[in-house]
Amino acid sequence: MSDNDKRIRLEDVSKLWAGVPAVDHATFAVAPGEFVILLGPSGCGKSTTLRMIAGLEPASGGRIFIGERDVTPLAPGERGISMVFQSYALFPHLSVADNIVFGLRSRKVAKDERRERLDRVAALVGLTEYLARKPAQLSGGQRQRVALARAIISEHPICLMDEPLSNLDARLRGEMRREIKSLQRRLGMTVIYVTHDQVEAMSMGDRVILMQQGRIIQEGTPSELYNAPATAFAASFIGSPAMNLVPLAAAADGAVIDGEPHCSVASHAAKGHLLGVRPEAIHLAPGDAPGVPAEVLDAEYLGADTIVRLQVGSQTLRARQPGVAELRPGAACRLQWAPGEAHFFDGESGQRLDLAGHDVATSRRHANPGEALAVPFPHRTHPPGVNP
Amino acid sequence: MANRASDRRLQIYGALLLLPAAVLLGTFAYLPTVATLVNSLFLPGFRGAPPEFVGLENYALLIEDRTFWQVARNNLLYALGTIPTAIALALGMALFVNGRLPGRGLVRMAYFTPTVLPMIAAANIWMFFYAPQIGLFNKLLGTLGIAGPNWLGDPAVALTSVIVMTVWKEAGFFMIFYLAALQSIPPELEEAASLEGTGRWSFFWRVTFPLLMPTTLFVLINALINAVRVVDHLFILTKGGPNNATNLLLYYVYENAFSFFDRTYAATITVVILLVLAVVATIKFRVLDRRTHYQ
Repeated sequence: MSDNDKRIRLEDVSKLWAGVPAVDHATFAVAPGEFVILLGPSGCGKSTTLRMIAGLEPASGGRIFIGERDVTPLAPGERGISMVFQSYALFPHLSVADNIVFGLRSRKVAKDERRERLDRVAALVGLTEYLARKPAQLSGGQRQRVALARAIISEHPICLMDEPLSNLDARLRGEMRREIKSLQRRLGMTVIYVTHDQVEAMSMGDRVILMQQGRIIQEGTPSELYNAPATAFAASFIGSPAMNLVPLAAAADGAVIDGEPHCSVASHAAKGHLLGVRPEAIHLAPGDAPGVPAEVLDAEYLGADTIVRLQVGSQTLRARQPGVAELRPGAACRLQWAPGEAHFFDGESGQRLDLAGHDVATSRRHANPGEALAVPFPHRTHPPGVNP
Repeated sequence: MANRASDRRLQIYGALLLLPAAVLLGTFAYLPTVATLVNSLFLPGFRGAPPEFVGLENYALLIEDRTFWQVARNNLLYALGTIPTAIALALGMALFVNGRLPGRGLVRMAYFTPTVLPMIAAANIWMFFYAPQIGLFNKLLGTLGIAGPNWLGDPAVALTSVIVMTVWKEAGFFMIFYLAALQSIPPELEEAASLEGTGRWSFFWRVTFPLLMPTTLFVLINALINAVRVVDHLFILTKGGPNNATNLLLYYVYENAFSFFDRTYAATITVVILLVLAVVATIKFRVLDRRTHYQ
């Protein structure tokens, strides 16, 4: 099987439901052996996109290619793909073995070969002892494995997965994430994986395609999405807790966080737009250190780290601190972050702006807030906090 | 000790909860059954004389009764003629209206209409279909130049005519059960199968039909009970005639009890019907249950 069969290309694919676009001119390509994540909140069109690739839903417009073939008019069975459903879609009246070889029987594969492939795949996913059971007698994780086995045994070069882990508990989910990823690598499958869980997207994907309201917002490696989100939506969707997004107001010496007029965080060009800082990029400094003045609201202890909620002007920010944060609610402190950690987004469209933030940590002029407006702020230039 | 006392109280509590249903069932199901069984062992007393205990004499009489055997044979033919056809039709209609179809609600309603009609009304409609000269069927056949049979008057055709009407009436009823069962089958199953290139026909036999087995079993038992429960449309259509050609078991029971006033003989036939039904239902459950998947 040539690698070319594993390539998927969507050109301008749309899906309209009663005239309303669910998928709006989606164009992307998936390279052979790549693990691509379609990420987005529910209703963003990611599942519809996947179902159009599978052929379960006809596309309203555009073309879908698998390899060099235009598969847009083809039936699902002719596209050479397998799929894992969120509900697993196991046949409840058939044993695990019959479930796994269901497709092989449809394709009239000889009995001996069926047997042999079944043994191989069952061993691969660890189901050898359960082949005689019915799906109802299996745990959620085992059912998931049956669904995977059914997709693998077909030896199709492409596997589509529609939120396959969302019915599992958190611990099992982590385990299956690793298993799916390692299976995909071992078998060299091309996988398109739909999820709304950014953790799954970040940990499994070679590349992530982020969708919102039927449109592709950003496409890139997990670290590209994390380090340089293309829009405020992308910024808030990836990372947990979400990136802090606060509106900037104008002050004498630059843009300041709304309600906190003393410490400018960027040049005048940023006013009216949004500042984004990841919670893990914020460093809490003592109240007399330089930085953005803040007041501790509360702290959520998570074991390895603590999420501290802070009041800055009229805004609430969250900061992730390692270990236990020794901060009482009401305590005053200063926030610092590296200039490259500040992201700016257009206040209207949410698009990323090519602006640089001020270095809030080295600015000395906040020791005495009363003088803040009297001393002119030396304008500094930073390389843009984009694409390090 | 305290434990045992509270245990007993719980048991009494449970028994009391069961009591209303038990009283109703006892009064209207089990007591009449036992009374029927007892009745079948007597001969009716004439002119105020008490009934006479005769043991199994009524049963011996039944075995000799040629009319009974004809009626039993009629009923068997009737069951064989109605049950498979009605079920197959019901399944076909359910599959049809379960699909994407313009005016689906209307079609569903149309299929269900015969079931909603009271039996007597339906039989009256069919009387006009079957009437020898002015009936719909013979009029239609007449335009083609064919002289139609006397649908209800010819002993060779009459039973078939009754069967056709029953299928028309029952299929819509069974369709509702199949439709409900079909809608409980997740659509992903068909999607998963279609991704593997499974044809519709193959999917039906390998997935849909096995998953409908509990419904089929339920419908089968119901259809069987219905087949020996026929009184009302015989009343309108044929009165069991001509020459008992369409007489069925329950109608024969009715005739014996209320036309010939032989209550104990009617009781005897009833006991036999109950026995046969019990045996057939047991066999069905035994054989089909093993092959049935319950979710």
